[in-house]
Amino acid sequence: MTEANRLTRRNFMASGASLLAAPAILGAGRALASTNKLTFVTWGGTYRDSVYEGGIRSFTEKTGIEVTIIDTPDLAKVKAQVMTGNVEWDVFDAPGAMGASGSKEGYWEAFDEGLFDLDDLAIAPTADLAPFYTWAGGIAYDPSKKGEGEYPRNFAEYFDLEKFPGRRTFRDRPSETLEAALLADGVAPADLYPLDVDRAFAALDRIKPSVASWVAATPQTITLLQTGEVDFSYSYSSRVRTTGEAGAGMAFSFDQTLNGLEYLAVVKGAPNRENAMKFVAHMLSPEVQAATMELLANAPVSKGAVPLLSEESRKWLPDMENANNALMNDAWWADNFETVSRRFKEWMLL
Amino acid sequence: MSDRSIRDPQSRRLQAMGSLLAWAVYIFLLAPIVVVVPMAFGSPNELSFPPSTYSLDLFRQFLSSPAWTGPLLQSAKVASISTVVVLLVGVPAAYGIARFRFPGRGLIMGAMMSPLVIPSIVTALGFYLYFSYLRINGTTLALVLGHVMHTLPYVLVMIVAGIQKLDRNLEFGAQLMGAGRFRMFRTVVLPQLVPSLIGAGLFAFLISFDEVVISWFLSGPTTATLPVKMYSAIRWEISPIIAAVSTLLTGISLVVCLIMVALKKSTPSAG
Amino acid sequence: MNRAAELRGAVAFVTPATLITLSILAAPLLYIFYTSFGGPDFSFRAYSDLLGSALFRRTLSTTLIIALSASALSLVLGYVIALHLARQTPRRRSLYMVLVLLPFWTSVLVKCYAFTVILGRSGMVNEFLTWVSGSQVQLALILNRIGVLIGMTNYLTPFVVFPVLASLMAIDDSVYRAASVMGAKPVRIFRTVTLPLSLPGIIAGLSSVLVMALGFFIVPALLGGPRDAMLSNLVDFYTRETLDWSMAAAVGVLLLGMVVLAIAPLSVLRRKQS
Repeated sequence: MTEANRLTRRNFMASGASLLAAPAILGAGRALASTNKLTFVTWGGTYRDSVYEGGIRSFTEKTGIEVTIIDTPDLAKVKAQVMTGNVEWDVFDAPGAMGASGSKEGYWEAFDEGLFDLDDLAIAPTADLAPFYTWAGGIAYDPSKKGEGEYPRNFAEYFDLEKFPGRRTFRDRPSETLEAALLADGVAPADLYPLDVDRAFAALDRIKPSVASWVAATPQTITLLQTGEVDFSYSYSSRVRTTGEAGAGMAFSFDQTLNGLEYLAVVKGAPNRENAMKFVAHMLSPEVQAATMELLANAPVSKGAVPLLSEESRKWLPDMENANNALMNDAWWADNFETVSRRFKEWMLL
Repeated sequence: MSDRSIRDPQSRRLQAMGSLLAWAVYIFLLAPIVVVVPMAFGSPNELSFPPSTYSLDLFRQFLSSPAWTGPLLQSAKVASISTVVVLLVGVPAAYGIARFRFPGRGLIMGAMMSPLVIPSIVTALGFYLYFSYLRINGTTLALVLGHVMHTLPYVLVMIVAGIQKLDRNLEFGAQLMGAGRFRMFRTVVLPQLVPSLIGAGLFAFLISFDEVVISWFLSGPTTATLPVKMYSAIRWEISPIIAAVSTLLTGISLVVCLIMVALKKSTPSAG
Repeated sequence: MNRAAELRGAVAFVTPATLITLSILAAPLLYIFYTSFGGPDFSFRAYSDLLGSALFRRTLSTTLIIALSASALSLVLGYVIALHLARQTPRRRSLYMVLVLLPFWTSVLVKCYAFTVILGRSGMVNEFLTWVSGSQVQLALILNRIGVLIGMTNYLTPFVVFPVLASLMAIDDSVYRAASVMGAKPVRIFRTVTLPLSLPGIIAGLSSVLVMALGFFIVPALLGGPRDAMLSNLVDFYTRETLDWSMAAAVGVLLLGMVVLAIAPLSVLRRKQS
């Protein structure tokens, strides 16, 4: 009996010791990750296909690096990966607010010196954010179900439930959503920032019952329209265009859009950091910018890419001249995204 | 009850109503399967029931898309490894629990059985936090460990039941002939347990293969299992491929179910 | 076998599983408690924040309402089936049993996917109603409370059938015969004989179904709207969306407490029977 007791006690101590040592042992294996791989987290659906056709395919051909594409970037997941030291993503496709906030929180690696051709880029990269393109977010609808005058053309109308009854979508994040709410509530595009957060939530409270889905994965902004789950959707000109090419014709109102920058960023502690650097540089090169933006119809940051775009694609580019349109202020979101996000996410569930 | 049915009209009416209600419930229970399976054989371009044309296109799309075959293989891998591990650990434990009385037996058994009643989300959260501390989140190892704990109670229940049906005198006999405890276990107990072992193994495999919540918390982008992929697909895409995947999952459940029924029939003592 | 030998045997067979259970199951569960109290810097912050949070209070009541209604619905449906099965000859019973076993074995994901197809705004039910009524019908049957209840009831019903059927089958036929000989009408027999005698099965079924219902995660996530989030979804929310792990852990601890309360009747019943 005493022998048995000793046996168990010894086993216990041994297992206890191995448990304490486990993080060190298991952690050590990670440094040996192979280097012909790359994980790129991006926005899924037709957008993913376009980015693949425009740039990822040629990247793999050129470098032999295999790119694993993950859908739906999420800053909370980056934070979790950085917090637990278990970083799985290399390159993150970040809309302005997420990119700027991630930079402030220290989630991104600094880019290597001389990675970019600064003369070619219309917007200069920061230490850890590389501008990818400019996008336009706004109202999408199904022209086969809603004729002229039956769909909202601007955010004030998108929030007008009496004139345009029906179910709507919004993104599951405060950036873009709060801007849309304030524009709808009568704030002039030029006076948006600093955002009046309380006023934005008050406006959102009014249409909340008609929001059928707070969309995390961008393809849903279109699929929900296609299946008739919603009548109007907050989506993007590039998304509407690329799904239109794929044969499902939705329409997009250019009367009022939110225009913003998209960044590429390398996650801090990325397992394939070197490949990630190469990838970002590749995506900003003029040929790749031209090929990708031709498909997406977003405004390229490479000056060399602009003349290469077709007439047809130009029609879909974000309109920076229209006074109704608002430009996203990433600096404001850098300071506020984290706190406002938490409030927004709890509010969504309430 | 048929032999004591009362022949007055009121009770016959009630019985008919009861059957009608029961059939309505059967239909409700079966509706998901009845809808999904034909859809899986429909065309990829329409999401309607019943499909206007039948084909295997959806299965072809499923099996030719790495986004789906990766998780399928991962599920097969996790389920196979977990099944082997849980049998290696669970079968001796079941024998110890079934055949010996020792202090702490109830407590140990309670701990091993607890995943049956603790909500998966709670175990999943525990694994997530603890494996984050161990830095193994997102690995196949984490998934296997989680699934082993999740399937252990089922294996214990089935094997303990199997052992209790065995004739204990054979074990005493072997030990009297001088066989050591482990030799006796290997040569006398295990061979008789084969049907229970197969049953428990299949059960563990199926549970692991179908498990969502724990895998949802523990898997990373490269280690996502089929149910995790399916969960995100239902949540975020509306792809008819899901119908093919559903049919595959239902098919696997059905096969495992039938094998278990057959096993039960082949061992009359277990009937 | 003497006691020492018995103990040695037990230790040899049970030790590996015990060690794994302690290190891979008990440790994570204790780790939840530890995390819920703020980890190394001990505090009740998470619990006091939770109690003050409108989101938590709403989710708690949603969880209770959904769990209780889904359990009640599955009890009714499961009882109907159990009664039907109990009345069949053994041969037909095992045949009909397949109709319960097949859904029982079906993945919850398959069910959720199927219900999005059946109940969606352009789903089968709405298409059928549109066809019948001749005008566009788009009832909202998923992404709301109705969808969650339908999905959960479908999943839980088989779990009621088994225990209730067992206790119905245990009722001695002579009890029925005696009741009808004394002139009792069927409804009265049901009320005074069948129902009370199947009570153990009802309690067992209800209790196990309630335990499962409290922890539902997939169905509310896939078939419910934002306002149908249950405690499980809140755990997921705090773990992945806001990364407030103490809050996630505190919700987990409270959920565990509720489950323990729901099991209590089951264990009392079991003790009574043995």
